[in-house]
Amino acid sequence: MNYTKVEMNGYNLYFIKTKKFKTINIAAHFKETITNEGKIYSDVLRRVLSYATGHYHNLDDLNRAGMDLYGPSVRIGFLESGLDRTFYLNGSFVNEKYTEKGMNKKSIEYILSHIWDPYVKDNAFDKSVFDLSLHEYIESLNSIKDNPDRYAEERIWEEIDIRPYKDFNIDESIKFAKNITSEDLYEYYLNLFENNSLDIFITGDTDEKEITKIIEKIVKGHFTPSYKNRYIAVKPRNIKEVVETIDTEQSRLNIALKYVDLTDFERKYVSLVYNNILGGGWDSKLNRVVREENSLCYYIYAMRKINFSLAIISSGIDAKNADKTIKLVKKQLDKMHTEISEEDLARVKEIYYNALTELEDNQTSISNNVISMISSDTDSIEDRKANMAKVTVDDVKKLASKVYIDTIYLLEGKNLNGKENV
Amino acid sequence: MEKKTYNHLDLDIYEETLDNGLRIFICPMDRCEAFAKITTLFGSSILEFKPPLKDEYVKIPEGTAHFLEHKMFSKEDGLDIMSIYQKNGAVNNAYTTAHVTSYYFSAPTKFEENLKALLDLVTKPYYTKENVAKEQGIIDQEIKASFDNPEEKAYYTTIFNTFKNLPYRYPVAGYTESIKNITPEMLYDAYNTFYHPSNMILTITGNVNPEKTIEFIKKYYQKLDYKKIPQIVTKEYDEPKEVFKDKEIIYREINHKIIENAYKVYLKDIDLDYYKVRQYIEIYLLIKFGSISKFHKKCFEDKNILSPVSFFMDSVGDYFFIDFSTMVIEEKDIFKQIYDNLNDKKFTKEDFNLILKNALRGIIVMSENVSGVNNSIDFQVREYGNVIYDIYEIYKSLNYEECQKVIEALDFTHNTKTIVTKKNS
Repeated sequence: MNYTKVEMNGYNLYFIKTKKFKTINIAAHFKETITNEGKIYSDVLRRVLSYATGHYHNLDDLNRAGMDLYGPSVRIGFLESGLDRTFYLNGSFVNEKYTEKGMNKKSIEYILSHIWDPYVKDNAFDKSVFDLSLHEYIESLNSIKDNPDRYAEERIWEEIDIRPYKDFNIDESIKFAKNITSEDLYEYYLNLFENNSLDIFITGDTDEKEITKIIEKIVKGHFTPSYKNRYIAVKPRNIKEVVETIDTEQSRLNIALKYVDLTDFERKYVSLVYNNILGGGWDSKLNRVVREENSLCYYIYAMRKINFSLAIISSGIDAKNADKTIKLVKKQLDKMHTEISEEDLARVKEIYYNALTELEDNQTSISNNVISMISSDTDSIEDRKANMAKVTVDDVKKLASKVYIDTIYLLEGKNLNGKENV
Repeated sequence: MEKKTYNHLDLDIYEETLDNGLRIFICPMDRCEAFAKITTLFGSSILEFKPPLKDEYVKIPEGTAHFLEHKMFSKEDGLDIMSIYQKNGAVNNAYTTAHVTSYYFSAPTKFEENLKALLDLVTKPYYTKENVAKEQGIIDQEIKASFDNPEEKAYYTTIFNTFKNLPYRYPVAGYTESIKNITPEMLYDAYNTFYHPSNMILTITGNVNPEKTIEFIKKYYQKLDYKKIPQIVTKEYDEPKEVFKDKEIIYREINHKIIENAYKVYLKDIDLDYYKVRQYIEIYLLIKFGSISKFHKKCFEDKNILSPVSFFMDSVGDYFFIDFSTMVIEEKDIFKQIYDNLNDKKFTKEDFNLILKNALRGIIVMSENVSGVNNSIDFQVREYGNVIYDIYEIYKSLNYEECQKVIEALDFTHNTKTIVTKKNS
């Protein structure tokens, strides 16, 4: 996928030109090293910046202004990948060719104003917007336990404990958040323009010169040089088993696997094949055995988090079947050393090639692909296809000896056999 | 084959109805992937019907349509449809709603092989005692996961309490107890009635050649020699305007309260094109509860309300089901606030035009996405009987005064309330 890079004053602007779509996407990505505190600040900040701007002091006015521009979408959030956190602003709007002349400029200004024109008074975010955002964040943490899937996911990350620091648990995060002030958050916000790198991506049928001029006027800051995401390397340990109980019908089983000492090729390609054969889709070993042969669950899959050198197996089961399910999972992990077929490999490769081909059908995928190549060490589409073609059955079997069970987390339900349902 | 055009959206659609009654819609788009979906007009809301050539009604347990969806993937002689899709690197899935069951795939290559698998999927039933028993354990886990989620529990309780007689009130997947009563015979009865091509819609969008594809489908069905079946008879129900139950409280160990408030709105009194009525109601709800509404602003600023009050609407027989949901710290007067706002019925022309402007954007965005176009065609055909080719013009023709009249004529009083909360809170 072709793109052009424009070096601006301390940051980079990337244009990904395509005429296939009626919309234009814009994405601004700030990057810094992960910390416990940064995660909390980012989560409150994304809310504060979404709910008001310097021009529109409340959400109602901000939304009305957006609708008058044919409703550009604006999403502010953050992602953690390995040792780095990306704070992002993603926007999308209909190309003015399909609405009214002048809408491209107005839409870009509107989207960027969320970050570059915040509602600030006396070196702090507006108190009422800040209070609401902080309250919303704290209550979102309080509600995690209400949803068993979310809670089980949160808990296994706490138990894996692979970051360079001890992760805050839910209560610790709430305690920290309660002490944040609007001044603190504003200081953290200013940090985006001092100690973060910035890359901006524009995708669609655009006039590069015109858009560069618009962005140049708005985007200010002294950014650090751009760099690639860094992954977390892990070490094996004795299996940690954790059981908690919850007032639900079903139990949630999460099993964390660690990928240890992988080469670059294994990390990018072989682990992807390994994960798919183990727990990616209908023909995966886990689905075939746990769901189809033993009817123990509705879903079981393995989710690869390669920048954390992890995969997490998740399933919903009856508590009485937990031991049986864990045994079956372990058995499938053993089989990954010996029982991999050429058909298994061909299936995963076909899915992979098709996914790469289909990237071109969606403007967000096109944009994300370039972002991934710039921000991570993702290869070009051509190189990815060529490298995937080199993966062999033996590579996958060899990788199996570098995969270790790290944590088995069971959130045990009451197993009422459906009595509560009727 | 007839070529038609989605006006203003640069999309052509080729329509064909086969001799066996299957309706086909093909929309070629400049994309790599092809997306195909086949839908039968059989969802969880049908629980009594007369199979072809039988005089008596057959009753099926709650959750049968969804169970049948699962069982369509079991085939005789080792034919494994899922493995074909996996081998071809295709994405495929199926879903059941109260109204329909749909099966689909998308892939950039091996289109005909994937399409054949899709047609095999819905034309080759194979149900045995063993494979039905095996599926019961799997679906039971699906049901349990759904009821463990407090939002879903609140939703299913609410629809149950909204309707008295319509089977729409039951969960799509049924209950642990009801699916135990499903037998292979029941599945064959349902299949033979509702999976006849004349009760199905096939929609294909994206990288597809219409002429070649129609020929391929015709050839496929020629071998199967479907006989015409009489018009499908399903049980009709008298449904009162009142809700079944006004309020229900469910106790769970949760930190916040889940609020669900559904309105049952009778539509028969409105003398206007159904498509327009639906759009006007949706626009009204966006004006009163959407992101530019005073209500939204008030909720956002109220620390007791933890998520914006969102709404969902669906047509159910002669009614519209409008369901509001949110999460709060305390119940307070949230139900009264929703009721008062809905029944206020005052809105400005400025707000009406603002919402309309955004609806037009939604249509443009939908038209550039292969699955978006597919879903839109499939929905319009089953909901309105045909593709709404002049959707853009219709939207432009919607007007404030007509909207006011429609809203004024509707009765937004019949409602049911559900709260999921911790005991003694």
